Amino acid sequence: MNIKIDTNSHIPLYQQIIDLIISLIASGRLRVGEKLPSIRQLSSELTVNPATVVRAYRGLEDIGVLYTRKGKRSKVVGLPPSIKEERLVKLYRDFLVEAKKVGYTEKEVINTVSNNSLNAILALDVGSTTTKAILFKRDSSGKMIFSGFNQTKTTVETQEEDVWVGVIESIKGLEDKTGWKMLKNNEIRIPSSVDHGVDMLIATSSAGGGLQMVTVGLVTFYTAESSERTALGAGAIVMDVFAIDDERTTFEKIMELRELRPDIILLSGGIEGGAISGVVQLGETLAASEIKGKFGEYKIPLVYAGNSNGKEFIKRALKDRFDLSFTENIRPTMDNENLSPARGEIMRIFMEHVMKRAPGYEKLLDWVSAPVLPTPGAIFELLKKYSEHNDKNLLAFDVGGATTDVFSSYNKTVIRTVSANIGMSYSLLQAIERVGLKNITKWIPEELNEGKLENLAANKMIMPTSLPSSELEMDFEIAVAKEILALALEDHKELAMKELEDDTVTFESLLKGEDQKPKEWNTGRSELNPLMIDMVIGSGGILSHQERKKTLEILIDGFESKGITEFYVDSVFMMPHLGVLTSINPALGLELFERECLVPLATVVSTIGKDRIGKHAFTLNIDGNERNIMVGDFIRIPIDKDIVEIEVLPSKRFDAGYGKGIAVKRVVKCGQFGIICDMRIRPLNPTHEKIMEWRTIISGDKNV
Amino acid sequence: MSKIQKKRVLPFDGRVLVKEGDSVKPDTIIAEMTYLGERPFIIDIAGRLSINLWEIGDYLTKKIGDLIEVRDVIAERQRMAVKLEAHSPVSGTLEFISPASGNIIIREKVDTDEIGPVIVNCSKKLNVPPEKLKLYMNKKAGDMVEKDGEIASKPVFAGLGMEYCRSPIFGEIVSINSEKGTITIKRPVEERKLDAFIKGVVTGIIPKRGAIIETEGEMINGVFGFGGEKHGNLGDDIIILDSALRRDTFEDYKGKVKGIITPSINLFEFKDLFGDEIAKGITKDNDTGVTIILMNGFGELEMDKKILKKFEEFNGMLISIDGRTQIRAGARRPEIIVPL
Repeated sequence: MNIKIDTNSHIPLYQQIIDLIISLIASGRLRVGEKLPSIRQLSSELTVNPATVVRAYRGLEDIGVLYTRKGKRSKVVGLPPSIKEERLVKLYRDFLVEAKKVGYTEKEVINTVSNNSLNAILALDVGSTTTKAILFKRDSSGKMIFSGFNQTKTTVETQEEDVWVGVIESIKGLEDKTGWKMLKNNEIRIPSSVDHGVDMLIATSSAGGGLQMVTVGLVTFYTAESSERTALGAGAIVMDVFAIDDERTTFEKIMELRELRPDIILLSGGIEGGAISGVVQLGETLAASEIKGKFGEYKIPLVYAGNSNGKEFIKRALKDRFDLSFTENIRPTMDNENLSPARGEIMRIFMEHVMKRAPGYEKLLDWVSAPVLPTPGAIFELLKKYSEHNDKNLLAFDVGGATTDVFSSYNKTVIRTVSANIGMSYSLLQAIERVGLKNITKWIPEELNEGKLENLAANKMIMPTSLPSSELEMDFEIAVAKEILALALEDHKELAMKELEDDTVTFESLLKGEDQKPKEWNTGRSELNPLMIDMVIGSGGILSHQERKKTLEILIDGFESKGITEFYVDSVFMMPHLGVLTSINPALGLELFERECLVPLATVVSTIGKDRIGKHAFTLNIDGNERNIMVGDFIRIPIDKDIVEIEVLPSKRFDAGYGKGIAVKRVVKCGQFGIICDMRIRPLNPTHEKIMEWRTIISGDKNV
Repeated sequence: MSKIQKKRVLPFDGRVLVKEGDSVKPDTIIAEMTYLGERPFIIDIAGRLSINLWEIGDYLTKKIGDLIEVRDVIAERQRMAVKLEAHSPVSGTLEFISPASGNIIIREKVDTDEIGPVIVNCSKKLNVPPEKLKLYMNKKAGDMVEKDGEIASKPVFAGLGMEYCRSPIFGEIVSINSEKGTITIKRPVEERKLDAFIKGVVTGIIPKRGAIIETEGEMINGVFGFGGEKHGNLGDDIIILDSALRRDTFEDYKGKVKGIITPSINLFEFKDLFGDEIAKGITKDNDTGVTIILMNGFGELEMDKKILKKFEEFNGMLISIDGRTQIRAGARRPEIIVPL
């Protein structure tokens, strides 16, 4: 090794050796992994005392430059982090100067580099019932593409009680499906190399299984009822309502509280300026209950929305046991309710904290390249970015096991709502209770034993990962999904629109962390006009992992589209993952969203108006071919092109979006099923034969 | 076979009746408590003395931890020639001073003679015949009355004044005797005993609160259940069915057994028996006295042969069951504990 030292220098000899070795590594003359001369060798070469070399080597070990195993020669590990970073910054600056000479801005450089430095991305979604893993990889042409998908059950329940177990299982399955190795000894290989590993791990989570709350109020008929309404309004399942006068003794209250495992507690009580001792007593009962969370012992979020004079006392009694937050009194006077602020706070806590509290979640945090987002939060991010680059108004549904989330992007304002008590497994019985079994059975084309269906639904609730094992079970799930879609949309309209009208809090402001409502909201949207919806996207297990014809059936029966509406399905349920990706790399996230995620199914044309069955509703012109569509028609027109221009000329009694009798022209995506003209009379109340006929029309066995 | 542990804890301090190493049965009382429910009294000092909230500390005559008698002066302020005073409405301890709200908390102190029952002769006090006392009552049986609170009253001096019969303690009006003209008042005190729930050995003591009971045995989880903790001999007190539980079978067993372990039940029959609160996926104790545990689910399902064989092996053993369920995220599934 070519090292020269200056024995006359005031710099100590060992320090000179350290500096020289670092400079040799920095210049590339000494490489990572290379062995250094032995102590004796170097001391004789430099004619210094071996102890000086020992001191220099030790110094280099201490700063992580060398690694020495007993009896072996020291090896170069790398440059110390501070020097490494300094070198990198210098290299980057030199590089930037060159890039700017050829016309790149720094932002363009960063985007291009980050897009091309990623060869493989592993994306996870830990849902309430299933854990999904997706691999995106560059193909031979350098394009990032979807390479594979796998799902396993979420291991949040007893036995495992660790979501990480499900994550590893899901990745293993993905390795088998894609042939791309991502794990080594159950650890994720980051970064990628030629034939294995990933450069980025991103994740979303909704493993909490919906929102379950305990509400506590002073008097059953007043504050306890208001607090229950607040929780229900936030889409929660109310596990129990406690009040001072609820006929249970303090002991009984405490013992019952102790057995519950809520996500959030809402404590209210007292009117403004009224007595506070009752609220304080309630607080003390809560403190004594030592109530635990769904996932064990941690501070459960508690929202206090009672007499504001009680805050100080509640803080004192509960701050050590609960994660406290305070909002306005839900019952400021005897005659007035003010539920929105508390409801908003509950929604915020649910999305930001509760969803991410599953056991094993911490391990996930160690590996991810960006913060884990709650699933609806991630989809919201994606659609917000998408709406910035796209003028279309859209509606998206994510039908999950415990919750159903609805997103609307309307005049570039995106709103999301989470219906935490309607879903396909954990919340199935709740959903059925809300819509009524009759409204579900009407979609199933066979004679049914209602008791059997109820058993089916109850089993799906208690064993959420079970899959349908018969045609009837499949039909049942499809039927439920249609009604859930409609119900969640109702919730969306009601909750989101109510928030818009409310000055104190809006969903949007909550999501943005702002207190004030953006001004354009007052003018931009006062209602969700179905005629103005250009796109409908379906996501979630029941829609994404389904035969496409059935997905389309669920979407068009569940959502009553009007005007010209393109229907899409999320290819393998990747919207949440892309949401996280979009938050780090918007260009790549949106590119993958459009190319790999959005699968066009069909464009549905329908007009608003009233006339008798068989009367002319509109004329559809596709590439010069005209077709008259009558009231009551349900017709599919297969198109073998991806995109087509259509013109809809409604009769004078009907509106296609621009007013009665006014023609609308648009270029639309045809998807697998082409153009569907849907002038069926709503609400749909089909006979078994009609259901089969509609199915045949969609599936293509009968084209008109 | 595995180690099964149960932590049994009282909600408030009480007495622990077992010690480490003790062998316990499911019905062994391991701890007990008397809950007096000593209430916090919040007193608006700033309001009473007309001072700024944060100034209350300057005017208090008591400090945290001080014992205070009812009607004691707790704060005072000299305002010109007038002395403003705040009095305690209760005997207790000054527990908390809140300059942020201008309030203080005095924790009620309950003496043993304040638990009751106490008998107050209001008829004598108001000088009215016992049979007419009810005309003068301000409270009825079942109502709560504060210490020194009015139970009955009578106008005096031709309606210019009132005479009162007051309660010496805080409590519930338990009864009104119209023959003797007396009122019985009792403070609602909760006496609670905590059992061990499982057969085992005490391996840890939680001072004043409870104990940890441990046993070697088998823990089997059901998929859904309804009803709280029960124990008894498998086959007699707790029975196993090999096919779906029917409503009439349940009615037959009601009152004769403590628990039924079954592969399934039809949802409509379940709802008939226990109400239709099942949709939330949360169940608690039920008032039929019988805990139900479903091993497979709802509908017409048969018991898994292996499980059935296992239960046959355990026949006659003293087991403990708990049917309470919380479905979401697997927070809680029914438990069958067989100490071996």
